[in-house]
Amino acid sequence: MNDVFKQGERPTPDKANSRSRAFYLEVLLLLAGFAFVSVVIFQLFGSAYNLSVDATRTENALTSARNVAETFSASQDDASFEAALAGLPGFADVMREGSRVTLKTDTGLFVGVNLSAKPQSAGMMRSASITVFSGDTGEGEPLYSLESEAYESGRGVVA
Amino acid sequence: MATRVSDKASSLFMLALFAVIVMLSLILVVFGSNVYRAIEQGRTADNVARAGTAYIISRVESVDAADALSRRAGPEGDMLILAENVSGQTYETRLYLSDGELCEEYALAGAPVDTENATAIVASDVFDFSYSRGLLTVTTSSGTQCVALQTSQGGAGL
Repeated sequence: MNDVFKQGERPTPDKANSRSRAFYLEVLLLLAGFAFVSVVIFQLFGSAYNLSVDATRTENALTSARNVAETFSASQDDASFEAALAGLPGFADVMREGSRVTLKTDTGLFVGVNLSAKPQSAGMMRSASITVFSGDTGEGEPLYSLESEAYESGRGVVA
Repeated sequence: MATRVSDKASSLFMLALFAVIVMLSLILVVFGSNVYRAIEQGRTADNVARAGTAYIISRVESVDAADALSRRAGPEGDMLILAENVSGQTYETRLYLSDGELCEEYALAGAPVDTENATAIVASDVFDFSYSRGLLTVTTSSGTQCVALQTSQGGAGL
């Protein structure tokens, strides 16, 4: 089966069919390769875009957590902390159930704050554990967590 | 005759295949450039937000003292004044809006506002600030940022 033709020789129908099949097989392989490379490139672009969206969401979560922490630091007690959060732009649905304060942000995030207090020799060390979740409920993926502490004088158990 | 028809079909097939590959490549390029543009816009917005707010916070925290912060009328709305005492002289860092940008001007207290000497911090159409119970809230186009002043009378002038 020699497919090399001498000059002036016309290929027989069998040889021509064989060449044609080889050509189509080559084209098929080329298309498959191109499709594979295209899929990989599409996936790379998609991953890059998802990373960018995640970065923006994390940035928003960080800003929200920082604002909540600063508000906690400036507040005198848990009640004033809740009231200050309710008055801040960008925050909504501020609710307090016992030692947990929750709120929603205008960037579509949910913030949960667990408050605790530890009596000191003079005053009280208040702590806030701030966690920002994706989505508008506390069941989303935790995006960012921050611990904050503030000392409150004059309201503690004197040892 | 059959060979000619077959050759023609083969040529057409080749042409169609070439067109498909070119179209797919174009789609890939357009899709990629759109994704890149979206990523770049997001990155720029994040950088602007981070740079602008972080700078304001650090400036406020660096002058956190009694009567250090005050409000005065600026070129476009109110300006935030951060006062500090250097070698017996009072200097002011003034933050205000000018020509769509949040600007910073450092000058001797009492000197008139000179927008030519101001440095643009970040592009913003909004600059609003308020103070309540130790918490300074600053709002720009990038968002709202809170700063807890350590000095209880730091924002007495606001």
